[in-house]
Amino acid sequence: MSFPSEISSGAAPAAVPPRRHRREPSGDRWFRWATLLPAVIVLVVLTVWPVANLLRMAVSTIEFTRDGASFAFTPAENLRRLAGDDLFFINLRTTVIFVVVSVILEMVLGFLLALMVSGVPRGKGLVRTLMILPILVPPVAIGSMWKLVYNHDFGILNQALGVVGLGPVGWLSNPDLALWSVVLVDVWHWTPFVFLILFAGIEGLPREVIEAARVDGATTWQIVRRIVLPLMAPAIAVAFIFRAILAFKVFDQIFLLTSGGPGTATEVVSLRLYRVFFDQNELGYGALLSVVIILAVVAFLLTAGALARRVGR
Amino acid sequence: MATVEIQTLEKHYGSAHALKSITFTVRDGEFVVLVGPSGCGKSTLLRAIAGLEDVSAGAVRIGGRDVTDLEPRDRDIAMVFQSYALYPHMTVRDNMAFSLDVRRTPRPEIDARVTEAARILGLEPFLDRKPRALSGGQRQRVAMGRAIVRRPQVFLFDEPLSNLDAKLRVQMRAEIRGLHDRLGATSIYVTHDQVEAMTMADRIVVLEAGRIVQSGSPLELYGRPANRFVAEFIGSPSINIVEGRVEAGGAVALANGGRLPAPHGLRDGTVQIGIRPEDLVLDPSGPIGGPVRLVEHLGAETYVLFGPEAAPLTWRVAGTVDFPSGQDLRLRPDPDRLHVFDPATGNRL
Amino acid sequence: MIPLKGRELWLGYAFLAAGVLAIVVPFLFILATSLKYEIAIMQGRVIFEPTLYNYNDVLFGRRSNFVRNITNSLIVAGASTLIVLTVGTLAAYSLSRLRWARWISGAFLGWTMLFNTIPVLTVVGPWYLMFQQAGLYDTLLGLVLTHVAINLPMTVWLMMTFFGDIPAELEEAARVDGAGQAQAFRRVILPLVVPGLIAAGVLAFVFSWNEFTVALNLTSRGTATVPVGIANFAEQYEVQNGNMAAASVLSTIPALILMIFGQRFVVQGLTMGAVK
Repeated sequence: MSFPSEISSGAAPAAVPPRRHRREPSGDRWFRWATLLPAVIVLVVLTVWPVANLLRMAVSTIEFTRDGASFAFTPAENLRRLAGDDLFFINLRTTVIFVVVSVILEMVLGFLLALMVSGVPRGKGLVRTLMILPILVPPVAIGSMWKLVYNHDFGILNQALGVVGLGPVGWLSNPDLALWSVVLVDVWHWTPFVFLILFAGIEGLPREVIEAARVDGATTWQIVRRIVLPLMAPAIAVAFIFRAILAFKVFDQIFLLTSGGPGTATEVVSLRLYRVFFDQNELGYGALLSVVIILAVVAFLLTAGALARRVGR
Repeated sequence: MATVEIQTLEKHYGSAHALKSITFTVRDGEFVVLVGPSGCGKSTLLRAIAGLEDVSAGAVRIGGRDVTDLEPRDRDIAMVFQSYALYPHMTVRDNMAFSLDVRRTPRPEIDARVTEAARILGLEPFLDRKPRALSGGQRQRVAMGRAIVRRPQVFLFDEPLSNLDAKLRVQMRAEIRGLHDRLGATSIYVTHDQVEAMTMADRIVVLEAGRIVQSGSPLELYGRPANRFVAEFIGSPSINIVEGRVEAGGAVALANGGRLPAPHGLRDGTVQIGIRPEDLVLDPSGPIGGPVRLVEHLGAETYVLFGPEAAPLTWRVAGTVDFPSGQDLRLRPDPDRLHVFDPATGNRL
Repeated sequence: MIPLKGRELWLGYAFLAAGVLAIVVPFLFILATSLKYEIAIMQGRVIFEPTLYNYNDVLFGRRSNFVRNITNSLIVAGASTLIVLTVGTLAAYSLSRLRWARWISGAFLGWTMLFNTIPVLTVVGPWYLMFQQAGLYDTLLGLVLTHVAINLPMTVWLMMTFFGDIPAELEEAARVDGAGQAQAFRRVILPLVVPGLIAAGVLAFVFSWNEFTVALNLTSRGTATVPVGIANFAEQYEVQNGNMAAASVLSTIPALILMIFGQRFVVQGLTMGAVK
């Protein structure tokens, strides 16, 4: 057997020096930089630089004079104040309760609603259309809407209770109730978002798999638990993470409804930051609180990332 | 047109070695088919020739010019992709005109060339449609048209027929080959389908695990496969392989007790013998045989599967014949058409 | 997807009806409130004679600044959407298709993730100082810039998923056909992500229109946006329920328009990435 002469597989010595990458044409390189640079500039100037500034502000006391802001270097004082700031830890606790309860309720309700709506033969379009509305409406408008609904004297809730002979309830003025009232608004506001994501997930499930399960004799509940839930795990995880992040950042509605009150019953971290920065004008201490919050977020993201990687494996 | 020279091409993906010192030359006007199972590196090789893939070492020369460091657009090639990669938002006309347009070819010239290509491919009625309004075969033609308006030095085809149904594939096979002859083009064509390779190629290059295992005309590969891999890859139904032992006195003893005359020059030891399914004839005293397992009727010919149930052999007979299942069959191979392979290396002996 | 039958079906419809009612009733209540005189609101009248008094007062009242708020909001939302769409789309293309070192895209996406997760109030303080120095405090331009920063992460991620959906072969075909990166982007890729541009643009516009936290703290009467205007009605010494309701109803108009005409894009934008 003789190979055709031009073939010499594996035998020929490398006549050319090894190379790694072709040179990128200059036009392409220019384009590559030109496309990313604007975003980098925006991020550096408007996000990285402010966050870096926070570090300087956090160790200072900032006074406003006629010539602008003057910085005094007072790290010890700021830190001492933080150590004795019991309210901040109450704020953190309130935030965690708010996030956990709201998000769990939204996930459960959103999933059930998605399941039900996908199972009925009619009315899907109407529900989906309506569910977009709370997501798009300004949170401030939702705050004022619920301020009216919760109104002690003429709100629709107390009017309805009055009809069945129950006394007016201080939805927003009772310190034991206010946080739950605020949670309810969040659930109203964001369950539709969870619904939309999970509904799209359910509608996107492979039809044959569910039909196969039916043929195999599974009940509806078994199909949900053994097939739908596992297949939707990624969509559920994404909805959960989105919601947890947004709930953690909540500000607008609570500002409108209670401004953090009564007392500090609904004062989540964002409201506290607002009070320190812009009511008490203490930019230095507000910055220190901000740094603590950012560090907590970093820790949360790193943990979540590590967890996701482990689950992914 | 032009020659394409590939010289000691290497490609590493991290620790994976995708192309191992590939060297071959495509002559001016030649139609070369790169063939091999999936993962053998044939698509990587084609993409390296196109410039879509960086190479780790080696060189690509087109028409004598070293293009290893050039962008695809500077290599004077055209490529037909597996998915066709038609621009979905452009009409058929604009799809074909795009490459000329970005090179700032004068408008009348573009129009003339697009019209010409459309005429050759029978696409004139569809010039103002978008790709999604075309059938699979028409899309395939547009992809071809986009390549030929360029009048490139080399055409590259990456499994262009794999998304078509069987009947259309046979038709397009002939059309592409006809087009190649008509344009006098140099073509490199990648496929995993050995029938496409056999029917279209001037020369077939068989790749396995990133290495060229054999190169030659279709009939050379069929008649003298360089190793067992090529023998099994080319030809359908697949070649029969039987184990044997070379005995003194110039015979090969088969595992089932039969004896074959050994081709001259074999040393003692075990060998593997390849017998094409059509190289068998009925012979009551033949060395090969066994109970009939299955008879497959194709009309013009019949495949008879016989022998051990786990690994039956195939006999290909012209016309229609029938055997009851279980009947003992004795066959004699054509002694001039035996392919003997070394069981350790798989190489032809 | 799992068809409900018999009793399950009734349960399904009951759930659906409850959901629809829960969404609709508060909207109807605020709409009704906006159409009542303050005295009728206070008395909690269920049956009332509708009046446009509150709308008139909000839009044309001498004390009201709401028309100005609307103009400001339109300018800020429009400008910030245009900028963020341009900047974000280019960056998304660059990151998803051009050959950047892993650490560069990692740092970019990691930082946007972090920035998107921290409460925006953490950076409003530094912005306040920066803008005071730069003369951007209490200007629409300053607000536009902050909205660009806030919406950039979402825009980049959304557009990256759209670019990711375009088969690599199309780009390779363009390269073989002789197009450079810029040409391939402009003539082949960009036309194919128009639905993505609309989805991202719609969301960026709505989020900017709705944005309250930054606007509250970096604007004053002349530069205040719609949400800040609404909050003013709620915050005054005596809450002006009628005006607040009317202003809130007016502020939902963009959302309503989008619900009716842009539903496909909104749903696509909101669910993109979650389902894949």
